[in-house]
Amino acid sequence: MGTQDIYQTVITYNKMKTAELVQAEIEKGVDVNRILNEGLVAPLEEVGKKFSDGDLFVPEMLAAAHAVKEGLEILRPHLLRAGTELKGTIVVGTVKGDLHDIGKNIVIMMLEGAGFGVEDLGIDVAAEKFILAAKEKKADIVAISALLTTTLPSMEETVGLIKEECPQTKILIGGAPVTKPFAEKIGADGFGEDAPAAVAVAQQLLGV
Amino acid sequence: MITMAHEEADRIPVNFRATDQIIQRLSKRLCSDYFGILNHYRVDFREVIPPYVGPGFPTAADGSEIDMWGVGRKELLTETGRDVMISVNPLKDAKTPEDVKNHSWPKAEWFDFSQVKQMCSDFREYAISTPGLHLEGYHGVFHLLTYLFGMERAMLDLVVNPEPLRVAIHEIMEFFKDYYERLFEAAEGSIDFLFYKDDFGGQNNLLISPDMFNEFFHDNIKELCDLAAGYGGKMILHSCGSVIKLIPNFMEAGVAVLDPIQVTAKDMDIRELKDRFGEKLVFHGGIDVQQLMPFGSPGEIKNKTRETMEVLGKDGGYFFSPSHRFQPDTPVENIVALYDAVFDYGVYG
Repeated sequence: MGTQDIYQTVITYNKMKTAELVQAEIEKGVDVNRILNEGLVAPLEEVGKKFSDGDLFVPEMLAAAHAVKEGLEILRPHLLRAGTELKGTIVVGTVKGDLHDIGKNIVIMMLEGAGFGVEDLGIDVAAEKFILAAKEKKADIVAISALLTTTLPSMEETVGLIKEECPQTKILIGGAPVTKPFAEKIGADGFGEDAPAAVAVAQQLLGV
Repeated sequence: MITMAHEEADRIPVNFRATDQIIQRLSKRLCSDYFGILNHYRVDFREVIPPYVGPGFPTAADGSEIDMWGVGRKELLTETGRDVMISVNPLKDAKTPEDVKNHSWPKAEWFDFSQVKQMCSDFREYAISTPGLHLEGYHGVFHLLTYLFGMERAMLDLVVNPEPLRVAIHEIMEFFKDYYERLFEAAEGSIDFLFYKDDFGGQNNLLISPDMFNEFFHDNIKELCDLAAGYGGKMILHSCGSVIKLIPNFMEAGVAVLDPIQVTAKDMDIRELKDRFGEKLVFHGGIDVQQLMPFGSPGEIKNKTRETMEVLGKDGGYFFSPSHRFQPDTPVENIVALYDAVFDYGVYG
C-alpha cells in the first residue's frame, strides 16, 4: 500500500499515476521523506541497477526517470516546507564542442531524485560558464558529460581551468568515451560509468 | 561477390569513408578529387545515388536548414571540427496519430531515377552500393524517429506512447518502399548492395532491447532486404556500437553484411564475431577510428590491419573498411599506413 504503489508506478513507467499517487500520499499525511525514499528513489535505484547490468536500456531508464521527475514536481514544495535539506548542489553540463545530452539529462533526473539540487547548463558549455555557475550557485560538484571522443581534449582543458578557479569544488565526469584512467589523468575527482554510478560517486564525494 | 559466398577471392575487397575535412586533406596531398582518392586506394565500391529534384525548403528563421522530412539542422563549428545538430524536430509536439499522418512526408517522385542505369554502367567494374538518399538525413527508421520527434521523446515514447511513432514508421516505410523499388528497378539488377544506415548500439550495450527491436524495427529491415533480394541485391546494415546481442535478429531479418564492427564497443571482439556468425554473415568495417586511427602509430596500425584481415577475412566474408568515417583528428600518415597495410596483407594465398 501507499509508497509501494508509487514504487510500482515508476517501474511500470506510468508517470501520470506516479503524480496522482504521490499527491494522494501527501494528502494522507504520510511523511514526505518516506514518499521520496520508498516511492521514488528506491524504484529508480532498481531500474538503475538493471540498466547498469545491461538488462534494461535507455528508453526504460528515461521512462522511469520521467515518472520520478513527475512525482518530484508534486513533492518538492512539501520537501522544502518540511525543511528537507538538499544533499548538495551540482552544476551539470555537456562539455564545449559536444551537443549530446540524453545521458546528461538522465543523470540530472537521477541526481534530483537522490536529493541533490541540480543546475542544468545545457550543451556545448565553455569552461567559463561552468566556473561562473559553480561560483554563483556555490556548487559542491561540477559534473561534465561528453559523448564524442573528439571532445576529450576539451574535457581535459575544462577540468584544468575549473580546478584553478574553483579549487574547493569537486569535479565528476562521465560519458561514453570517458574512462577511469582518463578521469584520473586529467585530475577529475570522480568518474561515473553510467547515470546510476554518477549518483553513487556524487554521494561518495560529498559523504552523503 | 566471391567474398559474399564465403570463399576467398584474390584479395579482400576494400572500401573507404571519411569526413569532408579528411577528404580535403587527402585531395590536396594526392592532387586529385574524391574519385581520384578512391582510385588511389583501389577502393572496390562505388555509390549510385539518384539526384534530388523535388521542392526546396525554406531556411527557418533561426537559420536552420530544413530537409525533406521537415527536420531542421544547424551547423556548429567547434575547435575539433564541424558538427551538425538537429535543431528542428517537426513532430515533437504531435499529439495524435492524425497529427503524424498529416505531416508532409517525402515522395519518391522527388528523385530522378533516369540516370541510374547509366551510373551503374559507368561503375560496372565495381561493387555498386546505394545508401539511397544522399542528404544529411540518410538514415534508417530509428534515426528518423529521433530526428522527427526529438531523441528524448522518441526513446521515451517507444516505452510509454508508441502509437504516434507507429504511424510515423508506417509513413517512412511507404516512402522507402516506393523509393527503393523505383531505384532498383531503374538499375535493372546492377545494384549489389542496399546500404541501410541506422544505429542500435551504444558504447557499452544496445540502445534498445531486443524485444523493442523486434516490435518496431525488425519488419522494416526485413521488407527492405526482401525488396533488394527481388533484384539480386543484398543489404549491408550499418549499426554502430555494441550490437552483438542483436546480430541474430539482424540475420533473421535477412541482413547479409554487417557494418561497421565498432571494435572498441563492448563485446565486439572480431574473433568471437567471426566464430559465432562468420559462416553466414559478412563483415564490413573493423578498423577502429576512435583510438587506433587518430592516436596509433603507423606500426600499430599495420599490425592491427593484418590481424583484422586474417581474422575477419578467413574463408572470405570480409569487406575491409574503417569502422566509421575518418575523423578530423586522424593524421594523414595514419590513413596512408592503413591502406599500405591493406595491400600488403589483403592478398589471399
